[in-house]
Amino acid sequence: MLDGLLVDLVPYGSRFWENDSRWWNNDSRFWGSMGNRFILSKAQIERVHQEWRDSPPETGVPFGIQTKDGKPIGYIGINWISQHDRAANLGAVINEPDYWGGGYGTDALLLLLDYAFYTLDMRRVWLGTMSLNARVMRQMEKVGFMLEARRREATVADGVWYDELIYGMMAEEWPGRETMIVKLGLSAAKDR
Amino acid sequence: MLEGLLVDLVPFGERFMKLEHKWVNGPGVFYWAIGNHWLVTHAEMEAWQRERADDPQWQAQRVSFGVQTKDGTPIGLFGMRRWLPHHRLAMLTAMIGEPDYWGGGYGTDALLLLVDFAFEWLDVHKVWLMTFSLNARVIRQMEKVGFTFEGRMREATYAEGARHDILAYGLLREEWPGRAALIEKLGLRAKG
Repeated sequence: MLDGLLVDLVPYGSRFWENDSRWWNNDSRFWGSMGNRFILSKAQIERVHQEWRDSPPETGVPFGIQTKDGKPIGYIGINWISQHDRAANLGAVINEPDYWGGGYGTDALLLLLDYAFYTLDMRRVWLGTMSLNARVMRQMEKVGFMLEARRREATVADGVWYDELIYGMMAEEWPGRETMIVKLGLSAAKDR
Repeated sequence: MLEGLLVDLVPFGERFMKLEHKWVNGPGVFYWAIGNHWLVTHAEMEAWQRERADDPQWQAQRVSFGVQTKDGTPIGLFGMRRWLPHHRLAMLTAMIGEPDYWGGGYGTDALLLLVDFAFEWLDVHKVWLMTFSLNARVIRQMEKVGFTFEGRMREATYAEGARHDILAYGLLREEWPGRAALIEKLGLRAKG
């Protein structure tokens, strides 16, 4: 378990899988993908889970995000790793909209970055989002990612073309979670 | 068949599949796979080809052409990957597997055919590809053909003992003057 201030990261196991048919069909999916709104059956989701079970552990690291009182609220993890290049592609989604904008995602991201750079010794992490996703764009800036590429009109959402933005961070640019907590003035969960 | 000046694009059939093993073990793969060298057995290649043929999702996301010279010699593979009809977005893939045909305009001729096919036949909104900073030939080609440089993923690949940037290029349909206009602009001609 990776212990955060507002959330903990745990293996993305059955307690999270149980939520996937709701989570993968609600609005969070739109933001977590590049604006897709697929409707997925339980059988289709089960097939994806099966693929995860079958894939070798060195190709990715899926974490479940849970609040400090143990409520599952989303996914964050390494979607895939290129071991040869020591580069990791990150993905994240808070699937419970009630937890958007409360710092939960940022807390989870800081944990994941420490894990990627210090535990897995990655040289580089990166992710893509769409230019409609103002929340993630703000977060990237705050956490110190660099906007590396603007792939013009790479996704269509709500009838409009949006750019895909690629953000990257090199190991030497990561000051460490402790430093970031101080810099961003984060503190542990208040009683809700 | 898509008819070019130096090459034609034909369906990627038996004649090309037999050469695929040689090509992915050859020097072309280093540029095609962004700095990787592959060692693929005949058995692995055949299994991969079967797997591809049997996977409808894989099939739906790709269009594969063989490139042959005007006298019918197979020299490479060109096509689209990650073809996402919803976003009208397609990644291009290209390899001249026979090094004797590098630098003679064969690849550019094939690229003009492929781009025209994407826009005029499939109504693609955008085509894109990535290469790396060691691939001077493709970087020059992208400029020449009118692709826009969209970003640089810093030190994202490791090859020949050093880290290299991955470069993203894109071309929107409205930016494409058409194959005939480019042939004129670049002064391309059939071999006579």
